[in-house]
Amino acid sequence: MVELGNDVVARARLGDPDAFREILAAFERPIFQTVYRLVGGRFPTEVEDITQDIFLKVFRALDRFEPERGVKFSTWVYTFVKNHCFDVLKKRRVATVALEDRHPAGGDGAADPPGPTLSPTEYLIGDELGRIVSSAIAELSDEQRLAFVLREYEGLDYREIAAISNCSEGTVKSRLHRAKESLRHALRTYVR
Amino acid sequence: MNIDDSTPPAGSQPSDSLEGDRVLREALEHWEAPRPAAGFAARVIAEWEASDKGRVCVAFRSRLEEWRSGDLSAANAALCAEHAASCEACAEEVRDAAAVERLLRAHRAPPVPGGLADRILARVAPATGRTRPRAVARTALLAAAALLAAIVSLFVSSSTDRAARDERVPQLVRTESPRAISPFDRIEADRERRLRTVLHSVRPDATGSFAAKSTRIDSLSRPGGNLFHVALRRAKSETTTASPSDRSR
Repeated sequence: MVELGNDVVARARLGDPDAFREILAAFERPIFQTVYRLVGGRFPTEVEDITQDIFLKVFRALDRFEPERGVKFSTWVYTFVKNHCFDVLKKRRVATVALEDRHPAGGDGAADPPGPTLSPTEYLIGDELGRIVSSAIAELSDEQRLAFVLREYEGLDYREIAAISNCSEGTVKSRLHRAKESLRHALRTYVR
Repeated sequence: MNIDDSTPPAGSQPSDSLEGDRVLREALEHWEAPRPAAGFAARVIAEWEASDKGRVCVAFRSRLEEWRSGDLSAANAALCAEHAASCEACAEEVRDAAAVERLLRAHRAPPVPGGLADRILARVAPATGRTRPRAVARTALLAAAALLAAIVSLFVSSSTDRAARDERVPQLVRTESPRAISPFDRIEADRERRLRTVLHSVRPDATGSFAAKSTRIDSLSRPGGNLFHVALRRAKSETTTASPSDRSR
């Protein structure tokens, strides 16, 4: 995770478009992919919209960021990710995604074409395994999924995850271990 | 194919079919018969968990992820390593955990859609544009406060020199930029200047207290009403009731 200097945030507060670009360049990929892993299992077509909404919330709230309190900017940003994704999951527990929206012809939901290093068969197997893994992650509780994604895919330490989740480090560890245990039971038949 | 070739000899087909059905039924019954009763597996697991070895395995597996994450104490980690080396079932559990971890790490999220940053920036401009009106409002507020301070300082002045007082009002208009004074403020300033001219013509020896009273007169007058008449009346009454000592000041 790239940590931005406070000067970039200060310039963004003054409305400097270059500062906004720097923040986007640093956080666009991790935020998009975290959102995908947190809510993509249920709302695969809304990941980009949710990412946009999160960035808008962050930019609007820049005046409230207080680096003098010792909070890292990345931790502060991930708090918005967590809050917004949990709101989405809470408000729309039952996903109502039309089939044509899920797989539009040539649209965002369409699967990526096979890469040059994979045969079509390998690609299909990999794609199917990807769906199974996504489904297993989606089955975790929201809190367990957050801990797992931030730790395993974004590489955040326990302290940062605890600050984002608003709980103790011990709770984070417990959630993470339970998440891994659930995933082991759900996926072990596919790795034997 | 000749249809006659596929037709079985008369009389043999029904009995063979019935015999086949009977054998199949028996086979199915025979196959279903040895299935364990409900809860059998659960009972076996419970018995195993209650045994000495089972208890160790259960404890090991409940701490497996902690052990693999390095979150156990050194003593407990050593116990786990010892058990994994001696128990084949638990060693297999460890291998499963490692394989699942590799599978999860290989799981890639889709790449960021092209142009996402531009789309966000396009939405950022109107979203953060609210700062501009705020800045304008702050500037206008500061200008109004400066104007008010200037007016107040003008009226509480104790100077009785008419020339000096006449000098102040034009200064008020000169020192502030035209943009900072609203049309309403300009009319007000003009009214004040004319009022003070009238009052001074009635009472050239007006003091600071008199100037303050004239301000109150102004505040009593209705918009578009008889401002000057009210001011004149009040000034005249002040003139008649004022003591000679006051006048001589």
